[in-house]
Amino acid sequence: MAASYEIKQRFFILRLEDSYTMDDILNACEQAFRDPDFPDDALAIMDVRHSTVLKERRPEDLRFMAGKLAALSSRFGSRLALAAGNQLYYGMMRMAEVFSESSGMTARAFITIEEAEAWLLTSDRRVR
Amino acid sequence: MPQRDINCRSFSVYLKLMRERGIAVDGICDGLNITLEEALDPGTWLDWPTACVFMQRLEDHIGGPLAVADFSYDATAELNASFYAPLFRLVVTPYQLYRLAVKVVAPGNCPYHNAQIVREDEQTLHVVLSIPDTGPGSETFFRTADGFFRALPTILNLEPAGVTSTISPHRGEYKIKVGQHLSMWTRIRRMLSPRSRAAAIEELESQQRQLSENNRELQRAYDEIKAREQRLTEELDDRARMQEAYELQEEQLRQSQKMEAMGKLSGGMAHDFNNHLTVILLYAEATLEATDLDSAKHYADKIRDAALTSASLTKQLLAFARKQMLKPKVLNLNDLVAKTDDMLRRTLGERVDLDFVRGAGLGKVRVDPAQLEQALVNLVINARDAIGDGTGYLTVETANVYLDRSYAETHGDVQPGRYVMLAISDDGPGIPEDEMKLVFEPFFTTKETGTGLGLSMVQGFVSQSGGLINVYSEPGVGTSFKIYLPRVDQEHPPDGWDEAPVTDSVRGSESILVIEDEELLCDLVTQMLTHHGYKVMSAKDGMEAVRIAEGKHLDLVLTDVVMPGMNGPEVAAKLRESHPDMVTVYMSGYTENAIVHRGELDAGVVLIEKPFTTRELLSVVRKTLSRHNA
Repeated sequence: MAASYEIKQRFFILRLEDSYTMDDILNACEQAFRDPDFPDDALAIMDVRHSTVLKERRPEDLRFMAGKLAALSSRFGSRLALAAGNQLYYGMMRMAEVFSESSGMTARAFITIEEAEAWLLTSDRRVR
Repeated sequence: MPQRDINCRSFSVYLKLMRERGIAVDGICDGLNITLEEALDPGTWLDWPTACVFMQRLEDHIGGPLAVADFSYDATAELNASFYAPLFRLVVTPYQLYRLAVKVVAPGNCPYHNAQIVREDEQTLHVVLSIPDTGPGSETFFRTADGFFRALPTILNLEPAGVTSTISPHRGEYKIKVGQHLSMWTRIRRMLSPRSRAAAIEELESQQRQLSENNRELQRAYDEIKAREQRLTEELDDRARMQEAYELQEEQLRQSQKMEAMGKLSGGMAHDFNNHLTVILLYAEATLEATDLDSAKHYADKIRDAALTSASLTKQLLAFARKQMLKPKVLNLNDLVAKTDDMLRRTLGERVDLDFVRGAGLGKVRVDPAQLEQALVNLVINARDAIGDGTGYLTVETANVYLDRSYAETHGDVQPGRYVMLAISDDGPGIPEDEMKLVFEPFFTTKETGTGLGLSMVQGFVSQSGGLINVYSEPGVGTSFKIYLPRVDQEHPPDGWDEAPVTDSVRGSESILVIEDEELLCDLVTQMLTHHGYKVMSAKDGMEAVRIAEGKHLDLVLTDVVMPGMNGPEVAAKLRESHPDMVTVYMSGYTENAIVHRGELDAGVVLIEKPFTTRELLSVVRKTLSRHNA
């Protein structure tokens, strides 16, 4: 499946690989939320490093995606780290950062997944 | 012992039925070798000649041909068909009828005849009956068979089918057009077979199950389509809402970034303002305490200088907040780039060599120089960042170009014609093709600390100036941004005002109406103009101005733009009805759509920006009047 998830300790990693639709993303999120292993204090990462369709997406698509994810973001502390993997995707995820702000979600783009994890851990202000 | 050719089972049934219906059967067996009682016994056997004679007599009594030679009567059959014999209406099952047919033509039923059933084609049954020895009843036998075949369609309660027969003493040939009758008959026969019926029922139930499943599938597909349609509608609504939110957010973000920058700027400006205010206060106090006129004038000069400096700071702040009117000027890009040369070199640092290639005979453009400088700096900084930590070259180049119709048609909102190009090229790593389509998108940035607004704002400015910006890049070679601005080779009237020297002869005697809702300013301007010889009237709003001007001569109206009630242009238009020869000068602290078109003044409109000095005001008034009088 092009949109899948992995739960690794506190990290909920939404992997978008190859080709996928917005429905695929939402379905993967819904499955993850129903997963008994989904942590209450989840730290969310959207990993687009291996996406092939992202480069074809338009700014309005990114805005739409950001809005949809923001609507679900209460399940992961309203924060989302974006692992881009390359410069183009980084630039696009920077756009998504801005788009998500008005929807109440804080997003940050990074090149590597390690940077994304580090940001989530260091900026986590939730009481555990 | 008669030969056992045929039993009397069929004849006995006929006889019984005839008796039941009151048909006389007496004498029917006269001259034959059986009695009526024997004939009524199904177990009685006859030889074939006797049987033929007996059948002939039966037909004579009935008044028509016998339809059948043998049958079984079963009134309890489930499926019934009507059989109309010439005399009797017998209720038999189709299967029984089938059996009748077989028996009629079956050789075992009559050892004297041979039967051959040939399926001639899809619709014709060809039956050939033959009898080896001619007997007295042979012809009757063939006619009986003929009657039977002709009755078949009626037996099945279907439309009559064609039967042709050729009968001879030894042979009867029957061609029966059965068509669908045969197939229906066959189907009925199959269905009546217990095994076939079970299979048929199973098949029907299976078909029913399949249909039900198909129905459920269709319902599921329909539900899915409806759900998708609903989701699509929701998505479209979402997108529309998000688009609105995005536009609002974009504006808010730009504004917030502006405010953030203004916050930084205002920190420094507040410091400067406080210094200037301190100077003004101190010199004002000193003026009040001055004992001689020279000292007082000296202090007043200092106060004026401090105020002018503060006014300059205000302008900078307004420019940053985009509240200041755009000031396009006709200029030569070579001059503008040369003016910014030092600043660009400092921005680039020592690692990047800057080369400026000036286009010869460069045409002029009409553009806001401050905006263009900012765009130039933005592009140069981008180039520097693209070059990175290494060394590199950056070229700023100007040239005259002509964009033809085909170019204009393929490059969006640009008119064909003469342009001046400003190109900024670097030898950095270039922009990957994927990123090219996004570089002008707001918020797209590959810089960690970038806002993603630089290039989009440059594009906006260039577009507002009637120009076009293009980017060309080759990975590993470099990138070139090219700005094309419309070439103008004539001065525009408003430009002259900024550059014209303030005239010494600023006095006049014309009639001027000052309209200003700020009372102190209105008084001050009135005093200034009166002091320099003008006949001045004043009003605090448009209504009062119209009333005051009524019946009076008026050469010039000096009016504020934004006022309660009628705004400046509306007042001017109203006054012009009664004073068509007057001219108008507007005063404004910031731009308003009422007098500004696309960020610049409408042609022919004269505006003096607040704050202004007496000298500037007098100069503008004098120049406007002189030009009008000329």
